[in-house]
Amino acid sequence: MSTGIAFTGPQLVALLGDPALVRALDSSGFAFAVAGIDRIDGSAPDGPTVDSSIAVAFLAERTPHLAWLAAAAVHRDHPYNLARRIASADHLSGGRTGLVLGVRDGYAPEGGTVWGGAGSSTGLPIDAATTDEAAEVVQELWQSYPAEAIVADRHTGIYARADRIRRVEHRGGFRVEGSLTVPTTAQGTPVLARRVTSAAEAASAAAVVDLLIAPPGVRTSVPTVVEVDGDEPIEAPDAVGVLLRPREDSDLGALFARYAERPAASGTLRERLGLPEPAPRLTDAPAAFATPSAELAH
Amino acid sequence: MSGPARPGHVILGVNTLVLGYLPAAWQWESRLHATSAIDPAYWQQIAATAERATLDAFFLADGPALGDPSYDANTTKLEPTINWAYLAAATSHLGLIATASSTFNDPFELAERLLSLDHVSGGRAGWNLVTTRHGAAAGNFGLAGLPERGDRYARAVEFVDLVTALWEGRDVHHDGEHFALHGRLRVPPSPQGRPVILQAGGSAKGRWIAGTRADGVFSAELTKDGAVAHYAEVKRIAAEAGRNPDAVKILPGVLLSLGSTEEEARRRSDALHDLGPSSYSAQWLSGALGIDASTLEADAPFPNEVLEQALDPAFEGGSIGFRQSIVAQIRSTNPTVREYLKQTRYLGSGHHGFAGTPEQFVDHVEDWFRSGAIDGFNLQPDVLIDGLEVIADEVVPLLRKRGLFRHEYETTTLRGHLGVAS
Repeated sequence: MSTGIAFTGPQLVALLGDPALVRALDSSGFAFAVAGIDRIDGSAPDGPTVDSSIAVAFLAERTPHLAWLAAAAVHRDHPYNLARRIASADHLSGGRTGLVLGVRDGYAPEGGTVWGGAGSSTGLPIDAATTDEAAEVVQELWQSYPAEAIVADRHTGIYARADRIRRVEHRGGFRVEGSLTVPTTAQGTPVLARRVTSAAEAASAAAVVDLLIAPPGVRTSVPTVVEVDGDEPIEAPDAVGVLLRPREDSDLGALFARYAERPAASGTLRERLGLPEPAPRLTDAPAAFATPSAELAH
Repeated sequence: MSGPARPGHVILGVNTLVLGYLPAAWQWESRLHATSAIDPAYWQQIAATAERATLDAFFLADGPALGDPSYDANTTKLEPTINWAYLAAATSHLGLIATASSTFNDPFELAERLLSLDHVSGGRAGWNLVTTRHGAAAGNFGLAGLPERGDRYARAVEFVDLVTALWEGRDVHHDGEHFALHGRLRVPPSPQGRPVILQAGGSAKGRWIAGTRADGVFSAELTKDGAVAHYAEVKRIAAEAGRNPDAVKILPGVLLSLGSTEEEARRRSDALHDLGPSSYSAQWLSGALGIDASTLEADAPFPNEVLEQALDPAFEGGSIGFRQSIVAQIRSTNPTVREYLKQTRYLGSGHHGFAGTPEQFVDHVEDWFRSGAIDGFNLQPDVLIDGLEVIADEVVPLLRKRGLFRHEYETTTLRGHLGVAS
């Protein structure tokens, strides 16, 4: 079982301002960390924060032993942009990145609709159903450009078998037709998690994510990390991991030092959590491009 | 070099078009491998070369859609703000300018993300504002087609004003034509006052946005005369808006092939062009002019109606700035279609091109700088991994010798490098 640590916005800002604390975190023996958990936990913003995906891309470079999940909601973001950013961070971190989706972004202005703030549509309701659909779109996009399509054959001049790239044709509340700009990653696709607080939420999200993050006692049917208030781990025999949520006034340096005796984790985030690759979603999707040919390459 | 003495340094950015601006770049160098485009070690290596050369910034042109990668590794693109957040951790001085579209982003989210990039990089973030002209992106965002151009620019103005208001950290109450927003950011204040804003593109509306709101323009110029005129226009707009004209920097792109002789540079450019599909240049022309270039007679001059149509601002095909500069270039020598496509290899297309020696290029930079055509260039090497090394080892030392470029970084923020106070 893996142990992770979740950081709020103010804790992330403190980390980013203290390179020694970041080094201590990297040697702490935590297997994974969540950036910006307070963004999606329903709490009101209290102090500074930074964008979770930006923090993860930066901190992944500074913490080669740790894996990261960015906490985010589609709320004011679009599944295409969010999927692209997390997949990009996953390439740059060598497969150590994931995404935890929540329903709404606590740091965003109250009210409105999902993606309505972009001013190009009326948007979708900010609710669990929209979040589950966004998760589905993200998974589809992450699978759209298989890394095996890249052949980089200098003899034929063909860089990619572009006909192996799938065109997502998602036509629900979101309409997304296209492919991601980056291929699949070292761990296949980034780990997609959903933070839930009830068995009902867990049940509907289970079909579209790799992992749930839930408080103790919520029954789930897919791999789950149990989220614990404070910095004392609990026994959770059915879970793949425990996520500690140190209090705002916790001494993070002391906490990292306390965990430093643990052996360092290694491998991709998916390996650290023992998660299988998600089922293929695009087997019937059309090819995004025509078949390349050596004749046309020159 | 002739021309009046002009004090100060040139600004040198690099538009890192993944492996280099030519589609065949992936085939060029033994250090490049199948997935260099998404390899963190590749990005760290080119960033280290850029910092060795004390360059001002990396740009990253971008659109949120996958282009056909069949013969071209450069369409496989990491998202720019994430790419730069990662490189921020691995660099100390290089400015990091991310392209982001005002059409396919929410202003609150983008303002928060760019200010976050500014925070983690210690004040080295910039935003290259584009309105996105590529139709393919619209499908990824559930839009049937792109908004009409005029509307896209009106939206961009409202968008950029909202973003800058949010960056001040205050409560924003806005009910506009395109956006309604009541809230504030909670990202710590920018270490450089606010992130740098660049405006990309060469339309009259784009220049107006740049003159009234941006810290710089990433423009497309094919001729020095055109560049001088546009330079003066943006500076005039800035002055009329009550701004210091020096607070908006003019940085045209330049496509660059360097060699130890002019002939070697042209051979390099030819070899790189010949490695890629010949259909790409016709495809490029089709995209740029909004026509099917394969229907044109290769050995005849361009029909006048094609050029007239390309100059019509209402015509939706490619960037209007690119179209204007291409038509001006064609009309200056009236080449056949085949001659024009060959000539664009060395003289550029959309952006102007340069194929020659480092010394000749330094003459060129000095000439355009002293003539009041530029404040600097956005360099676009044909292949980055070795092209940037020639810039670091040969071009920059020559510029330093002429007093045109810094010997060491003297400032720590992007605003500091560019000399644009917030």
